[in-house]
Amino acid sequence: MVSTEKIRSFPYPFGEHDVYRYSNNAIPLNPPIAIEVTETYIEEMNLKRELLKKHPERCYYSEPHTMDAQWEALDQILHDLSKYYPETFKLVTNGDQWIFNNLHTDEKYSFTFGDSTTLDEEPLDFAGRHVQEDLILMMQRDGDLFLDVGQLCFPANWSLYFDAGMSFKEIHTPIPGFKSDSLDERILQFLMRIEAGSPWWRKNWSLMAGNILDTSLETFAEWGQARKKVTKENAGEMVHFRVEVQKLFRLPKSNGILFTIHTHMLQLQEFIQHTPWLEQFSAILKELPEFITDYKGISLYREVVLEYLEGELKKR
Amino acid sequence: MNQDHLSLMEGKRKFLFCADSQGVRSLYILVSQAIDENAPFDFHIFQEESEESFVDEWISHQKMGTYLYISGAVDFVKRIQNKALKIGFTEHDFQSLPIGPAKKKLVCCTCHGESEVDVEPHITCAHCGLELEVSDHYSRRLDAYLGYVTIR
Repeated sequence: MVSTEKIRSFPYPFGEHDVYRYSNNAIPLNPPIAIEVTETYIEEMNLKRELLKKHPERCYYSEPHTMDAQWEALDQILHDLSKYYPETFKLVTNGDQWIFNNLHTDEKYSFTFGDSTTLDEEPLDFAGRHVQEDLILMMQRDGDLFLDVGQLCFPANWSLYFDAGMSFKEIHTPIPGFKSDSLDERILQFLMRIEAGSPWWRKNWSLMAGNILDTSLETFAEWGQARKKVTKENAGEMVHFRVEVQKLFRLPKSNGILFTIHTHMLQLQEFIQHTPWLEQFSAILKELPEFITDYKGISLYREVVLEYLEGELKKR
Repeated sequence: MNQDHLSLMEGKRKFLFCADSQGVRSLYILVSQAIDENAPFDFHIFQEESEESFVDEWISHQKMGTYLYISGAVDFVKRIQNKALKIGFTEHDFQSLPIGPAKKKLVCCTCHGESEVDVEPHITCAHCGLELEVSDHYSRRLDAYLGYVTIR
Protein backbone atom coordinates (compact mmCIF):
# COMPACT_ATOMS: atom_id res chain seq x y z
CA MET A 1 0.00 0.00 0.00
CA VAL A 2 1.23 3.50 -0.74
CA SER A 3 0.71 6.23 1.81
CA THR A 4 -2.54 8.16 1.84
CA GLU A 5 -0.17 11.10 1.56
CA LYS A 6 0.95 9.96 -1.88
CA ILE A 7 -2.63 9.63 -3.10
CA ARG A 8 -3.57 13.00 -1.58
CA SER A 9 -0.63 14.74 -3.24
CA PHE A 10 -1.12 13.08 -6.63
CA PRO A 11 -1.69 15.77 -9.26
CA TYR A 12 -5.19 14.80 -10.39
CA PRO A 13 -5.38 16.00 -13.99
CA PHE A 14 -9.09 16.61 -14.57
CA GLY A 15 -11.26 19.65 -13.95
CA GLU A 16 -15.00 19.73 -13.56
CA HIS A 17 -15.84 18.28 -16.99
CA ASP A 18 -16.48 14.58 -17.49
CA VAL A 19 -15.22 14.88 -21.07
CA TYR A 20 -11.55 15.14 -22.03
CA ARG A 21 -10.18 16.78 -25.19
CA TYR A 22 -6.87 18.37 -26.13
CA SER A 23 -6.82 22.03 -25.15
CA ASN A 24 -4.55 24.75 -23.90
CA ASN A 25 -5.15 24.03 -20.24
CA ALA A 26 -2.27 26.11 -18.85
CA ILE A 27 -2.88 28.25 -15.78
CA PRO A 28 -0.65 30.75 -13.94
CA LEU A 29 1.86 29.08 -11.61
CA ASN A 30 1.81 30.28 -8.00
CA PRO A 31 4.22 30.12 -6.24
CA PRO A 32 6.60 30.24 -9.23
CA ILE A 33 8.68 27.11 -8.50
CA ALA A 34 10.18 25.27 -11.46
CA ILE A 35 10.74 22.00 -9.61
CA GLU A 36 9.30 19.78 -6.87
CA VAL A 37 11.13 17.34 -4.61
CA THR A 38 9.05 14.32 -3.59
CA GLU A 39 9.59 11.19 -1.49
CA THR A 40 10.92 9.25 -4.51
CA TYR A 41 13.77 11.75 -5.04
CA ILE A 42 16.77 9.48 -4.41
CA GLU A 43 15.37 6.55 -6.36
CA GLU A 44 14.66 8.79 -9.36
CA MET A 45 18.06 10.53 -9.20
CA ASN A 46 19.79 7.15 -9.30
CA LEU A 47 17.68 6.03 -12.25
CA LYS A 48 18.23 9.29 -14.11
CA ARG A 49 21.98 9.27 -13.67
CA GLU A 50 22.22 5.65 -14.72
CA LEU A 51 20.22 6.36 -17.89
CA LEU A 52 22.38 9.40 -18.70
CA LYS A 53 25.50 7.29 -18.31
CA LYS A 54 24.25 4.34 -20.38
CA HIS A 55 22.22 6.19 -23.04
CA PRO A 56 23.53 9.73 -23.43
CA GLU A 57 22.43 9.86 -27.08
CA ARG A 58 18.76 9.47 -26.16
CA CYS A 59 18.76 11.38 -22.83
CA TYR A 60 20.61 14.58 -23.69
CA TYR A 61 20.92 16.89 -26.68
CA SER A 62 22.17 20.44 -27.02
CA GLU A 63 22.95 22.93 -29.73
CA PRO A 64 26.15 24.90 -29.21
CA HIS A 65 24.44 28.32 -29.21
CA THR A 66 22.45 27.53 -26.06
CA MET A 67 25.09 27.91 -23.35
CA ASP A 68 23.83 31.25 -21.99
CA ALA A 69 20.26 29.95 -21.80
CA GLN A 70 21.50 26.80 -20.08
CA TRP A 71 23.25 28.85 -17.38
CA GLU A 72 20.08 30.87 -16.93
CA ALA A 73 18.10 27.67 -16.44
CA LEU A 74 20.67 26.34 -13.97
CA ASP A 75 20.43 29.63 -12.06
CA GLN A 76 16.64 29.28 -11.77
CA ILE A 77 16.74 25.61 -10.75
CA LEU A 78 19.49 25.78 -8.13
CA HIS A 79 17.96 28.89 -6.58
CA ASP A 80 14.57 27.18 -6.43
CA LEU A 81 16.07 24.10 -4.75
CA SER A 82 17.89 26.12 -2.07
CA LYS A 83 15.01 28.53 -1.50
CA TYR A 84 12.14 26.03 -1.23
CA TYR A 85 14.09 23.06 0.19
CA PRO A 86 16.66 24.83 2.40
CA GLU A 87 17.14 21.78 4.65
CA THR A 88 18.56 19.64 1.87
CA PHE A 89 19.96 22.02 -0.76
CA LYS A 90 22.40 24.85 -0.05
CA LEU A 91 23.56 27.45 -2.53
CA VAL A 92 26.20 30.05 -1.76
CA THR A 93 26.89 32.62 -4.47
CA ASN A 94 29.80 34.97 -4.12
CA GLY A 95 29.80 36.90 -7.38
CA ASP A 96 30.49 34.27 -10.02
CA GLN A 97 31.89 31.80 -7.50
CA TRP A 98 29.09 29.38 -6.67
CA ILE A 99 29.00 26.53 -4.18
CA PHE A 100 26.09 24.10 -4.47
CA ASN A 101 25.48 21.45 -1.85
CA ASN A 102 23.05 18.57 -2.32
CA LEU A 103 22.54 16.96 1.10
CA HIS A 104 20.30 14.19 -0.30
CA THR A 105 23.19 12.81 -2.31
CA ASP A 106 25.93 14.25 -0.08
CA GLU A 107 27.59 16.09 -2.97
CA LYS A 108 29.27 19.46 -3.02
CA TYR A 109 30.19 21.40 -6.17
CA SER A 110 32.19 24.59 -6.60
CA PHE A 111 32.12 26.25 -9.98
CA THR A 112 32.36 29.59 -11.72
CA PHE A 113 28.96 30.71 -12.97
CA GLY A 114 29.07 31.17 -16.75
CA ASP A 115 32.29 29.21 -17.19
CA SER A 116 31.45 25.80 -18.64
CA THR A 117 34.96 24.49 -18.08
CA THR A 118 34.31 24.47 -14.30
CA LEU A 119 31.51 21.86 -14.52
CA ASP A 120 31.82 18.25 -15.66
CA GLU A 121 28.60 18.48 -17.66
CA GLU A 122 26.86 21.21 -19.61
CA PRO A 123 24.83 23.47 -17.25
CA LEU A 124 21.39 22.05 -18.09
CA ASP A 125 22.71 18.51 -17.89
CA PHE A 126 24.22 19.30 -14.48
CA ALA A 127 21.01 20.88 -13.14
CA GLY A 128 18.95 17.94 -14.37
CA ARG A 129 21.04 15.52 -12.32
CA HIS A 130 19.70 17.14 -9.14
CA VAL A 131 15.99 17.34 -9.92
CA GLN A 132 13.31 14.76 -10.75
CA GLU A 133 12.09 16.84 -13.69
CA ASP A 134 13.01 16.37 -17.31
CA LEU A 135 14.29 19.70 -18.58
CA ILE A 136 13.67 21.14 -22.04
CA LEU A 137 14.76 24.52 -23.37
CA MET A 138 12.84 25.96 -26.29
CA MET A 139 14.63 28.85 -28.01
CA GLN A 140 12.59 31.53 -29.76
CA ARG A 141 13.52 32.85 -33.21
CA ASP A 142 11.86 33.61 -36.57
CA GLY A 143 8.46 33.69 -34.85
CA ASP A 144 8.78 30.11 -33.69
CA LEU A 145 10.06 27.94 -30.85
CA PHE A 146 12.72 25.29 -31.29
CA LEU A 147 13.78 22.42 -29.07
CA ASP A 148 17.47 23.27 -28.90
CA VAL A 149 18.44 21.65 -25.58
CA GLY A 150 16.96 18.90 -23.51
CA GLN A 151 17.68 16.38 -20.81
CA LEU A 152 15.01 13.73 -21.08
CA CYS A 153 15.08 10.54 -19.03
CA PHE A 154 11.36 9.89 -18.50
CA PRO A 155 9.68 10.58 -21.86
CA ALA A 156 6.10 9.51 -22.46
CA ASN A 157 6.95 7.51 -25.58
CA TRP A 158 8.83 10.06 -27.67
CA SER A 159 12.41 10.43 -28.84
CA LEU A 160 14.57 13.40 -27.96
CA TYR A 161 17.20 12.14 -30.40
CA PHE A 162 14.70 12.34 -33.26
CA ASP A 163 12.83 15.49 -32.20
CA ALA A 164 15.91 17.56 -31.26
CA GLY A 165 16.10 20.83 -33.18
CA MET A 166 12.45 20.70 -34.29
CA SER A 167 9.95 23.54 -34.11
CA PHE A 168 6.96 23.31 -31.76
CA LYS A 169 4.57 22.24 -34.52
CA GLU A 170 7.00 19.73 -36.02
CA ILE A 171 7.37 18.04 -32.62
CA HIS A 172 3.60 17.68 -32.31
CA THR A 173 2.82 16.40 -35.84
CA PRO A 174 2.39 12.79 -34.68
CA ILE A 175 -0.54 13.73 -32.39
CA PRO A 176 -3.81 13.05 -34.23
CA GLY A 177 -6.28 15.91 -33.91
CA PHE A 178 -3.71 18.32 -32.50
CA LYS A 179 -3.95 20.49 -35.62
CA SER A 180 -7.75 20.72 -35.71
CA ASP A 181 -9.15 24.21 -35.06
CA SER A 182 -5.48 25.35 -35.32
CA LEU A 183 -4.91 24.22 -31.75
CA ASP A 184 -1.17 23.81 -32.41
CA GLU A 185 -0.93 27.36 -33.77
CA ARG A 186 -2.89 28.79 -30.84
CA ILE A 187 -0.76 27.03 -28.26
CA LEU A 188 2.42 28.16 -30.06
CA GLN A 189 1.18 31.77 -29.99
CA PHE A 190 0.37 31.42 -26.29
CA LEU A 191 3.85 30.05 -25.52
CA MET A 192 5.56 32.82 -27.44
CA ARG A 193 3.72 35.41 -25.36
CA ILE A 194 4.78 33.99 -21.99
CA GLU A 195 6.53 36.73 -20.05
CA ALA A 196 9.42 36.59 -17.62
CA GLY A 197 8.15 36.56 -14.05
CA SER A 198 4.78 35.04 -15.01
CA PRO A 199 5.26 31.29 -15.35
CA TRP A 200 2.47 28.88 -16.30
CA TRP A 201 1.76 25.23 -15.68
CA ARG A 202 -0.45 22.44 -16.92
CA LYS A 203 -1.04 18.72 -16.40
CA ASN A 204 -0.97 16.03 -19.05
CA TRP A 205 -2.11 12.47 -18.39
CA SER A 206 -2.11 8.97 -19.77
CA LEU A 207 -2.41 5.39 -18.58
CA MET A 208 0.43 2.96 -18.72
CA ALA A 209 0.57 -0.82 -18.61
CA GLY A 210 3.38 -1.30 -16.10
CA ASN A 211 5.11 1.23 -13.90
CA ILE A 212 8.39 2.26 -15.48
CA LEU A 213 9.26 5.94 -15.69
CA ASP A 214 11.69 5.70 -18.60
CA THR A 215 9.19 4.93 -21.34
CA SER A 216 11.37 6.10 -24.20
CA LEU A 217 10.39 5.45 -27.79
CA GLU A 218 13.73 3.66 -28.13
CA THR A 219 12.63 0.95 -25.68
CA PHE A 220 8.96 0.76 -26.72
CA ALA A 221 9.50 -2.74 -28.18
CA GLU A 222 10.19 -3.93 -24.59
CA TRP A 223 7.79 -2.01 -22.36
CA GLY A 224 4.97 -1.74 -24.92
CA GLN A 225 4.37 -5.49 -24.79
CA ALA A 226 2.73 -5.18 -21.37
CA ARG A 227 -0.28 -3.52 -23.01
CA LYS A 228 -1.34 -6.95 -24.28
CA LYS A 229 -1.20 -8.52 -20.84
CA VAL A 230 -3.75 -6.35 -19.06
CA THR A 231 -6.92 -8.16 -17.97
CA LYS A 232 -9.97 -7.16 -15.96
CA GLU A 233 -8.46 -9.10 -13.04
CA ASN A 234 -4.97 -7.54 -13.02
CA ALA A 235 -5.84 -4.03 -14.26
CA GLY A 236 -5.92 -2.44 -10.82
CA GLU A 237 -2.44 -3.68 -10.06
CA MET A 238 -0.80 -3.51 -13.46
CA VAL A 239 -2.15 -0.29 -14.94
CA HIS A 240 -0.76 3.00 -13.66
CA PHE A 241 -2.06 6.48 -13.96
CA ARG A 242 0.69 8.72 -15.31
CA VAL A 243 0.56 12.49 -14.94
CA GLU A 244 3.10 15.00 -16.16
CA VAL A 245 3.22 18.30 -14.31
CA GLN A 246 4.62 20.68 -16.91
CA LYS A 247 5.89 24.15 -16.04
CA LEU A 248 6.82 26.95 -18.39
CA PHE A 249 9.20 29.78 -17.52
CA ARG A 250 10.40 32.58 -19.80
CA LEU A 251 14.12 33.17 -19.29
CA PRO A 252 14.53 36.97 -19.37
CA LYS A 253 18.07 37.21 -20.77
CA SER A 254 18.19 34.54 -23.45
CA ASN A 255 14.43 34.80 -24.16
CA GLY A 256 14.24 31.01 -24.15
CA ILE A 257 11.48 29.02 -22.46
CA LEU A 258 12.38 26.56 -19.73
CA PHE A 259 9.96 23.66 -19.81
CA THR A 260 10.13 21.30 -16.83
CA ILE A 261 8.30 17.99 -16.77
CA HIS A 262 7.72 16.11 -13.51
CA THR A 263 6.24 12.66 -14.05
CA HIS A 264 4.04 11.22 -11.28
CA MET A 265 2.74 7.66 -11.28
CA LEU A 266 0.03 6.03 -9.24
CA GLN A 267 -1.26 2.48 -9.42
CA LEU A 268 -4.83 2.40 -10.69
CA GLN A 269 -6.10 0.58 -7.58
CA GLU A 270 -4.64 3.35 -5.40
CA PHE A 271 -5.95 6.06 -7.71
CA ILE A 272 -9.53 4.83 -7.46
CA GLN A 273 -9.56 4.69 -3.66
CA HIS A 274 -10.75 8.26 -3.90
CA THR A 275 -14.33 7.68 -5.07
CA PRO A 276 -14.85 11.02 -6.90
CA TRP A 277 -11.76 10.22 -9.01
CA LEU A 278 -13.08 6.74 -9.79
CA GLU A 279 -16.45 8.15 -10.86
CA GLN A 280 -15.10 10.93 -13.02
CA PHE A 281 -12.33 8.94 -14.64
CA SER A 282 -14.75 6.11 -15.54
CA ALA A 283 -16.97 8.64 -17.31
CA ILE A 284 -14.03 10.23 -19.12
CA LEU A 285 -12.51 6.95 -20.28
CA LYS A 286 -15.87 5.66 -21.49
CA GLU A 287 -16.41 8.75 -23.63
CA LEU A 288 -12.81 9.16 -24.86
CA PRO A 289 -12.60 9.16 -28.68
CA GLU A 290 -10.44 6.61 -30.43
CA PHE A 291 -7.95 9.13 -31.83
CA ILE A 292 -7.00 10.06 -28.26
CA THR A 293 -6.88 6.52 -26.85
CA ASP A 294 -4.75 5.45 -29.83
CA TYR A 295 -2.23 8.20 -29.31
CA LYS A 296 -2.12 7.73 -25.54
CA GLY A 297 -1.56 4.01 -26.10
CA ILE A 298 -4.64 2.93 -24.16
CA SER A 299 -6.68 1.35 -26.97
CA LEU A 300 -5.44 -2.22 -26.45
CA TYR A 301 -6.66 -2.38 -22.88
CA ARG A 302 -9.30 0.32 -22.56
CA GLU A 303 -12.19 -2.19 -22.46
CA VAL A 304 -10.73 -4.30 -19.65
CA VAL A 305 -9.90 -1.19 -17.62
CA LEU A 306 -13.51 -0.01 -18.07
CA GLU A 307 -14.78 -3.39 -16.88
CA TYR A 308 -12.52 -3.18 -13.84
CA LEU A 309 -13.72 0.37 -13.06
CA GLU A 310 -17.38 -0.72 -13.46
CA GLY A 311 -16.78 -3.52 -10.98
CA GLU A 312 -15.22 -1.12 -8.49
CA LEU A 313 -18.06 1.38 -8.89
CA LYS A 314 -20.56 -1.37 -7.99
CA LYS A 315 -18.71 -1.99 -4.72
CA ARG A 316 -19.09 1.62 -3.53
CA MET B 1 11.12 23.53 -50.07
CA ASN B 2 10.23 20.59 -52.31
CA GLN B 3 7.08 21.16 -54.34
CA ASP B 4 5.13 19.24 -56.94
CA HIS B 5 5.04 22.33 -59.15
CA LEU B 6 6.86 25.67 -59.24
CA SER B 7 5.32 29.14 -59.32
CA LEU B 8 6.84 32.52 -60.03
CA MET B 9 7.02 34.65 -56.88
CA GLU B 10 5.95 38.29 -56.97
CA GLY B 11 7.98 41.24 -55.80
CA LYS B 12 11.43 39.65 -55.98
CA ARG B 13 14.53 41.58 -56.94
CA LYS B 14 15.98 38.83 -59.11
CA PHE B 15 15.51 35.16 -59.96
CA LEU B 16 18.13 32.43 -60.09
CA PHE B 17 17.27 29.35 -62.13
CA CYS B 18 19.41 26.35 -61.39
CA ALA B 19 18.95 22.98 -63.10
CA ASP B 20 20.69 19.81 -64.15
CA SER B 21 20.01 18.31 -67.57
CA GLN B 22 16.87 16.55 -66.26
CA GLY B 23 15.44 19.65 -64.65
CA VAL B 24 15.87 22.20 -67.42
CA ARG B 25 12.49 21.73 -69.06
CA SER B 26 10.47 22.37 -65.95
CA LEU B 27 12.04 25.82 -65.59
CA TYR B 28 11.32 27.12 -69.13
CA ILE B 29 7.81 28.29 -68.33
CA LEU B 30 9.05 30.28 -65.32
CA VAL B 31 11.84 31.83 -67.37
CA SER B 32 9.37 33.00 -70.00
CA GLN B 33 7.17 34.47 -67.23
CA ALA B 34 10.21 36.28 -65.84
CA ILE B 35 11.00 37.66 -69.32
CA ASP B 36 7.39 38.85 -69.70
CA GLU B 37 7.68 40.70 -66.41
CA ASN B 38 11.08 42.17 -67.25
CA ALA B 39 12.49 40.60 -64.10
CA PRO B 40 16.26 40.17 -63.92
CA PHE B 41 17.41 36.54 -63.77
CA ASP B 42 20.37 34.17 -64.14
CA PHE B 43 20.01 30.68 -65.59
CA HIS B 44 22.61 27.97 -65.06
CA ILE B 45 22.53 24.37 -66.18
CA PHE B 46 24.94 21.91 -64.56
CA GLN B 47 25.70 18.80 -66.60
CA GLU B 48 28.25 17.31 -64.23
CA GLU B 49 28.59 17.30 -60.47
CA SER B 50 32.11 18.68 -60.85
CA GLU B 51 30.69 21.89 -62.32
CA GLU B 52 28.72 22.57 -59.15
CA SER B 53 31.69 24.10 -57.35
CA PHE B 54 30.69 27.28 -59.18
CA VAL B 55 27.31 27.37 -57.37
CA ASP B 56 28.74 28.69 -54.09
CA GLU B 57 30.36 31.64 -55.78
CA TRP B 58 27.30 32.35 -57.90
CA ILE B 59 24.76 32.26 -55.04
CA SER B 60 26.88 34.01 -52.43
CA HIS B 61 27.26 37.08 -54.66
CA GLN B 62 23.52 37.66 -54.80
CA LYS B 63 21.78 40.44 -52.91
CA MET B 64 18.84 40.24 -50.49
CA GLY B 65 15.53 39.64 -52.25
CA THR B 66 16.97 37.14 -54.72
CA TYR B 67 14.79 34.08 -55.25
CA LEU B 68 16.12 30.67 -56.27
CA TYR B 69 14.53 27.85 -58.29
CA ILE B 70 16.15 24.41 -58.29
CA SER B 71 15.06 21.61 -60.59
CA GLY B 72 16.68 18.26 -61.28
CA ALA B 73 17.47 14.81 -59.93
CA VAL B 74 16.76 14.26 -56.24
CA ASP B 75 20.42 14.26 -55.21
CA PHE B 76 21.20 17.33 -57.30
CA VAL B 77 18.33 19.26 -55.71
CA LYS B 78 19.43 18.25 -52.24
CA ARG B 79 23.05 19.32 -52.88
CA ILE B 80 22.07 22.76 -54.23
CA GLN B 81 19.56 23.29 -51.41
CA ASN B 82 22.21 22.57 -48.82
CA LYS B 83 24.64 24.99 -50.47
CA ALA B 84 21.98 27.72 -50.54
CA LEU B 85 21.02 27.15 -46.90
CA LYS B 86 24.67 27.26 -45.86
CA ILE B 87 25.13 30.58 -47.66
CA GLY B 88 22.17 32.06 -45.78
CA PHE B 89 19.10 31.46 -47.93
CA THR B 90 16.08 30.46 -45.84
CA GLU B 91 13.33 28.05 -46.85
CA HIS B 92 11.26 31.05 -47.91
CA ASP B 93 13.87 32.07 -50.50
CA PHE B 94 13.67 29.12 -52.84
CA GLN B 95 11.48 26.44 -54.44
CA SER B 96 12.66 23.02 -55.53
CA LEU B 97 11.29 20.46 -57.92
CA PRO B 98 12.94 17.05 -57.55
CA ILE B 99 12.51 14.83 -60.61
CA GLY B 100 12.38 11.05 -60.51
CA PRO B 101 11.98 8.62 -57.65
CA ALA B 102 12.71 10.09 -54.25
CA LYS B 103 14.15 7.72 -51.72
CA LYS B 104 13.49 8.67 -48.10
CA LYS B 105 15.79 8.07 -45.21
CA LEU B 106 14.13 6.26 -42.31
CA VAL B 107 15.48 6.29 -38.76
CA CYS B 108 14.71 3.28 -36.59
CA CYS B 109 13.12 4.43 -33.32
CA THR B 110 14.86 1.65 -31.43
CA CYS B 111 18.48 1.61 -32.65
CA HIS B 112 18.59 4.92 -34.61
CA GLY B 113 19.96 2.98 -37.59
CA GLU B 114 19.13 4.45 -41.00
CA SER B 115 17.48 2.70 -43.96
CA GLU B 116 16.29 3.86 -47.38
CA VAL B 117 12.61 3.56 -48.27
CA ASP B 118 10.55 4.15 -51.40
CA VAL B 119 6.80 3.87 -50.96
CA GLU B 120 6.46 0.75 -48.80
CA PRO B 121 4.55 1.30 -45.53
CA HIS B 122 6.67 -1.18 -43.55
CA ILE B 123 10.30 -2.25 -43.62
CA THR B 124 12.55 -4.43 -41.51
CA CYS B 125 15.35 -2.47 -39.90
CA ALA B 126 18.63 -3.67 -41.42
CA HIS B 127 20.45 -2.89 -38.18
CA CYS B 128 18.30 -4.44 -35.42
CA GLY B 129 15.82 -6.58 -37.35
CA LEU B 130 12.66 -5.02 -35.90
CA GLU B 131 9.73 -4.34 -38.19
CA LEU B 132 9.18 -0.60 -38.65
CA GLU B 133 6.17 1.39 -39.72
CA VAL B 134 7.12 4.32 -41.96
CA SER B 135 5.67 7.54 -40.54
CA ASP B 136 5.41 11.10 -41.82
CA HIS B 137 7.21 12.45 -38.75
CA TYR B 138 10.18 14.23 -40.33
CA SER B 139 13.38 15.57 -38.81
CA ARG B 140 15.13 18.31 -40.70
CA ARG B 141 18.24 17.83 -38.57
CA LEU B 142 18.55 14.18 -39.59
CA ASP B 143 16.87 14.68 -42.98
CA ALA B 144 14.91 11.53 -42.20
CA TYR B 145 11.52 10.12 -41.31
CA LEU B 146 10.82 8.19 -38.12
CA GLY B 147 10.22 4.45 -38.24
CA TYR B 148 7.96 3.23 -35.43
CA VAL B 149 7.99 -0.26 -33.93
CA THR B 150 4.58 -1.87 -33.84
CA ILE B 151 3.66 -4.40 -31.17
CA ARG B 152 1.88 -7.40 -32.58
